[in-house]
Amino acid sequence: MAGVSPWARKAVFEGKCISSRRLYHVLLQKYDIQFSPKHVARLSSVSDGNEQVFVAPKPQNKPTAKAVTISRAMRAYMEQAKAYDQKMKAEVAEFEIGKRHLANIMGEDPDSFTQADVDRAIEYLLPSGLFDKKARPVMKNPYEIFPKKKAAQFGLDGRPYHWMYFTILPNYYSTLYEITWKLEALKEAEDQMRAENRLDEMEGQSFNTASSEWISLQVLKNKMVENIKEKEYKHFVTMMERLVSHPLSGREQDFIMEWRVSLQAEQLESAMPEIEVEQGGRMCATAKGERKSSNAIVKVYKPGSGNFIINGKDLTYFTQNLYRETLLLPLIVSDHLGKVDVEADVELGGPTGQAGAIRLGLARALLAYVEEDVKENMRLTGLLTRDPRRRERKKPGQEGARKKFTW
Amino acid sequence: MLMWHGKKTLSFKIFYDALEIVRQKKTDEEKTALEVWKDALSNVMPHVEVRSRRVGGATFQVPMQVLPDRKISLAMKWLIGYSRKRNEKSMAQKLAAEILSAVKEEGAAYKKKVDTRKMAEANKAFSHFRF
Repeated sequence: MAGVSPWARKAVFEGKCISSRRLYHVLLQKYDIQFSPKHVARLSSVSDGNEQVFVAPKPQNKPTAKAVTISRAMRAYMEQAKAYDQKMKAEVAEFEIGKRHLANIMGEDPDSFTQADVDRAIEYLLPSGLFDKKARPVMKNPYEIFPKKKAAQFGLDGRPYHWMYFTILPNYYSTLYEITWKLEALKEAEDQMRAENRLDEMEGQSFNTASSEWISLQVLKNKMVENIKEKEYKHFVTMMERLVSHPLSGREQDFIMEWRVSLQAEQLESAMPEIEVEQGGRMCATAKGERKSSNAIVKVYKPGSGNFIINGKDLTYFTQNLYRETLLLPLIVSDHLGKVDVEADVELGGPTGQAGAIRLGLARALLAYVEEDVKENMRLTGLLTRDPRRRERKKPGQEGARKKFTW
Repeated sequence: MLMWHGKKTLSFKIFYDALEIVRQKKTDEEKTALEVWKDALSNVMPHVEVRSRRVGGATFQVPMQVLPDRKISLAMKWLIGYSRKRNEKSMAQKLAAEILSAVKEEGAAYKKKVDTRKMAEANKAFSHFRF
């Protein structure tokens, strides 16, 4: 018996009585066996030194009451999951048959009936004037309609996989923790840079928020497969804004972009105005613009020489320099200053509204004459956004739109 | 800050007249009046300021970095505010004088920035309470 205390070894060889407790420790050391001392056979006081020690086999772990209830929970969960799968299978089968019936009704080939055809058919057979598109009748794959379910959340021993399982919104809260840890890390990095006097390196390291926006509540709910409320969503956005506002937030760009959606540039293509060619080979693009209560119809002629005709007058229609400058901005950004003629008819509103309306119409009309990257530039400078601000109404019981009475 | 009663044209006039005066009086030939104004603004911009925070019953003055937008807003506010208190003849002259002294790192607005910085330095011990 190697690795055993010489006293114990000697005692066994000499046949002396050795306490079971000591023998237990000896055998534990040698064989690394887990057993309770009462299973150790007692040595008789008389032996010839070659005594074999019978070691009781390792006793099974008796299932405790807690383990029984946990496995019941697991069983219930498995039954639920099976029921869900069966239900979905039945629904999908119904959907497929229903699709074929629909194709027959519409007189089309059932085999090549796509989802777009289904949508068209439903809209034709069940026309609905309801305002909310989600309230209208719809026929889609059940997996898109029925709410998504999460995979198994805990193992067979009942221990949940996610460390925040008991908060009911594990993904949401763990994301909040992630944001906090990242922000703390950035703060430490900033302190270090400050201590080493490397402040100039901090320029340009913050995350650029242009051309993307935060994902909406619905998308967040689908992404996390959890029921997140409006208040919690607002908190989430506030925390992300805090992270982004740190000067070094560019380092966490990948993490932040997971929760942002980039603004589509495809909307620009639908807004492209048509170009008509007049006699003499002059191109003309027409577009409308609105701002506040004014609206304008702007025609841009190319090639031109930078003339402006607004309601019959030239640029002196606007007495203030400020308004003339607003009209120049789209031309400067698209590099058409002095190359086009502009004719605008504008009505309603005051000078600011009218100038804004003409500027929007001008920018939209110029889309017909410029390249893709210039279009992107224009979108980023905000020339193509219709300013949604309008005069806020005065409310009863208040002095104005916001101002309240003193008492 | 510069506009009262919604009279934007008046505020434009004041600002551009002030820049005109700055152009006539400036000592640095290379820069335009607008650049001089930008220099004044950056001299008056605070980089750290103190904000109150209640922790465990006591109100601490926690020094914190100023966000870029807030830097500009504070600088403009102080320039305009302290130029109102000056003793020149018209607002344009007052504003021009304040801009010129800010470039030279004198003047009340600059002093305000330095005071804010001193407050932050004095309370540096609480900077771990950043929020």
